[in-house]
Amino acid sequence: MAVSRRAFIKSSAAVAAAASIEVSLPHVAQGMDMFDAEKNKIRWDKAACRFCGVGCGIMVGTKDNRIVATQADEKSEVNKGINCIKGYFLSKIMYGKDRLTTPLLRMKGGRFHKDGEFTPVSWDVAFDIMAEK
Amino acid sequence: MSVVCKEPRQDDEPIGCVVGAVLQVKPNMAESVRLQLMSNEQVEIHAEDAQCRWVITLESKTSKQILKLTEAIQNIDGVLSVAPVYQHCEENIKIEQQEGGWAWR
Repeated sequence: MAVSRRAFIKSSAAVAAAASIEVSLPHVAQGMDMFDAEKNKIRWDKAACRFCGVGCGIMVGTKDNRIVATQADEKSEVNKGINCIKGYFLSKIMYGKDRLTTPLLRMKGGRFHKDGEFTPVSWDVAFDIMAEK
Repeated sequence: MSVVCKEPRQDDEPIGCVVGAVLQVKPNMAESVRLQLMSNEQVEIHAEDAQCRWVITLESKTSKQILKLTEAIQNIDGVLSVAPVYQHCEENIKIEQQEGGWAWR
């Protein structure tokens, strides 16, 4: 029986949640074996949540150079496979349109001015100004 | 262990957001919580253990809707906590679809 991509992702979510409380879902895991995981092509890397100072361990899933999934790291001694609701938004904050992607410099008349408006500048300009000051 | 399986949706449907979470439920209110969760087609109960911890999945089009759903579940009488474990989100792939609440100046 073919397993859809959505069903596979849902099964992954269920199995991960179950593993965090040491419950096994053999019927779900069996269904996942039938899905061609190569098609999904999600790469998993280890990281730490950056929302607070606790330092929860998380796994970050990347597909086509974009974060599409996060999972609490069940091997982490800090959070033992559980996230909080802030941790749920880890991937979303990467892609908000108001995120900062370049340094901002207060500028007026094309130059740094402490009463100026925040203006995007290059990293070279930012480092030059910092060194100058 | 009780298992509630639903038919998978079509493969070409956008994934949106899928979350796996653990609920801690008051044992004496488990049945009323179960009825409320089962009446919501975005929620599926996969398993539960002897300590009344339930494994559930949530599905929605956006992460904002998932957040509202999580809050709604948290507010159900008899639910002690909702702990998200796994989240997969493929909303707002294009930059013009992305949301942002705060602009500089």
